[in-house]
Amino acid sequence: MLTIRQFQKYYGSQRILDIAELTLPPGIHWIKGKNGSGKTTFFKSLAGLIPFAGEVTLDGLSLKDDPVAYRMRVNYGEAEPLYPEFLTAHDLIHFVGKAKKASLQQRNDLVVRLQMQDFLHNPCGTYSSGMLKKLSLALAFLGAPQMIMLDEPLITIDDQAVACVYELIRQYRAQDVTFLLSSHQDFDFGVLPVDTTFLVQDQTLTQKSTH
Amino acid sequence: MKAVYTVLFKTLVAQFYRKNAGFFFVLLALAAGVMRDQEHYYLMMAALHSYALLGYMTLLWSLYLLKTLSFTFQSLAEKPNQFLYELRLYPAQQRVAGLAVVHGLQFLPVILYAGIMITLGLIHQRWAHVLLCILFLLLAMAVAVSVCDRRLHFPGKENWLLRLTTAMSGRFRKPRFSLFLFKIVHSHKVLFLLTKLTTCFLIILAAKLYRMGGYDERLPGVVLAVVGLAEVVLVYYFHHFENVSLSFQKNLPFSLPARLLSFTLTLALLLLPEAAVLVRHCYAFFSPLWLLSGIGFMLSIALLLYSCLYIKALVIEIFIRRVFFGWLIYFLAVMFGVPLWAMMVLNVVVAFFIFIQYHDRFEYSL
Repeated sequence: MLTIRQFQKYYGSQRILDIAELTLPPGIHWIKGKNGSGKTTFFKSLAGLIPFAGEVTLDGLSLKDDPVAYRMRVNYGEAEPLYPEFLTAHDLIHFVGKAKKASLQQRNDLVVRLQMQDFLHNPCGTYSSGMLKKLSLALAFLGAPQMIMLDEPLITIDDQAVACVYELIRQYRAQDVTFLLSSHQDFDFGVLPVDTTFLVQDQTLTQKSTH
Repeated sequence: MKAVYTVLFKTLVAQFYRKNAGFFFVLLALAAGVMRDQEHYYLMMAALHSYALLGYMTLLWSLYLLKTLSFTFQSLAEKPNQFLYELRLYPAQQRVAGLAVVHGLQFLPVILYAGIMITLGLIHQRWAHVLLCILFLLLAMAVAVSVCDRRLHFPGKENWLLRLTTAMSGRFRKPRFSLFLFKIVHSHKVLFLLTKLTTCFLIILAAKLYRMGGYDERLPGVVLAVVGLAEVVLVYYFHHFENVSLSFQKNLPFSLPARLLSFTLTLALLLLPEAAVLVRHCYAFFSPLWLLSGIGFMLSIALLLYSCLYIKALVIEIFIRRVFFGWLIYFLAVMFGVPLWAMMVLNVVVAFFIFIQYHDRFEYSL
């Protein structure tokens, strides 16, 4: 269960998000919103990438008070990932995998399922946007997270990879992992059992519907 | 053709001086603030009477040439500038003329300095030295223009160093603290070389002056402060690398002390050349304890600079300017006899405090 209290995020004097109180139960949640509404800022804040005011806890673990344990349980896949041009997918998967205590089998399994074998040992500087996206998705599934946030997980990847992402989400969800997804494309509800839809609008997050 | 010159000037010349404003600020401060007119005159005259000194000068000028070329290559590789490859469609004569103007303007500080030397050489009839200076300038321009013209025809061609490091890179795992060293090989070779050459030269010079007598331990102390602060640009790029290219690692479960330790190890690796030169040239007349505290002092300055970058993201020009004024504090502390180890401890404590306080609150945006 993710609990957010008195959450505020400003860029300079501009208020981006203000969430007084919000509780997200375990499940798959779709965070919708227009461009620039603050979805990515919300995800990055929850991932501990950028500072904010307020309190965020996941099953009692506070992002601010237990930063290491919290980060071990929360993974994030960026919408437009950026990695050092000289590192390979292999380097990054093992670097993040070691930090998140992912088994070697899990690392290899993700590489195979996302069909990354062909470019695994090439430097990121040579990757297409789809390859970078696959890498960021692989990194987001490493370890034993309790919550995974995927920002625009379906953009730039091919149909096979889309099917694989759906399958991974279903598989991890069966292991009680909570998902926060943002996407401008509609999800295939027949394949992906989205529980709740939230809307980021007017600098806050409101529940739109349950499915 | 005027439009081409305008575009080239705006993308490759104006940007070169804008992005290296900090470098030129320090250079001007040293050349006009620290050295007097007379000292410049003696230096030039010495170079006009010594092939060895002239050789060293041309080496420095060559490094500056590398810096300009490295900037041009990086600019051409950036997406917003890729329209510049259309220059290939221009007739060779116009293309070469355009590139010559670009490199002439980028190389202007060296041309002006060498120009004064050549004038002095003509007055004092140092014909051979004058000829060497002129030949160097012509060769530098020819090399710069031909290398850039080749890059326009073969964009994205990897050099041997990049090929080698890429080939090696896949063969072993890279520890976290070593990643920035790969970044240096990839993007900041010239900067690294220039910094290390300057700092090692300063250490050797201080060691020689100390050995000649007339100076006490404060001289190497002041020089070590300069060396620590001279890492400012590398430290800045290190911080940029960590917070832009490796921004995802803020989501990784590392404690703040573990992060700081990793950064310290990277900075220690960066300072290895200076540490080696210091030990090599000073072990005969300084105690091992002094040498250790000297190395620790340099490292602690670099660590403090790195931590300070978490207080607020600054553009590089402002950061360098602040660091330059910060050097005055170290200068006064050394001159008043504060021991290096004491400053080292203070630097580390302040760096640790700043890092712990500001790391989680920091957001990279310029």
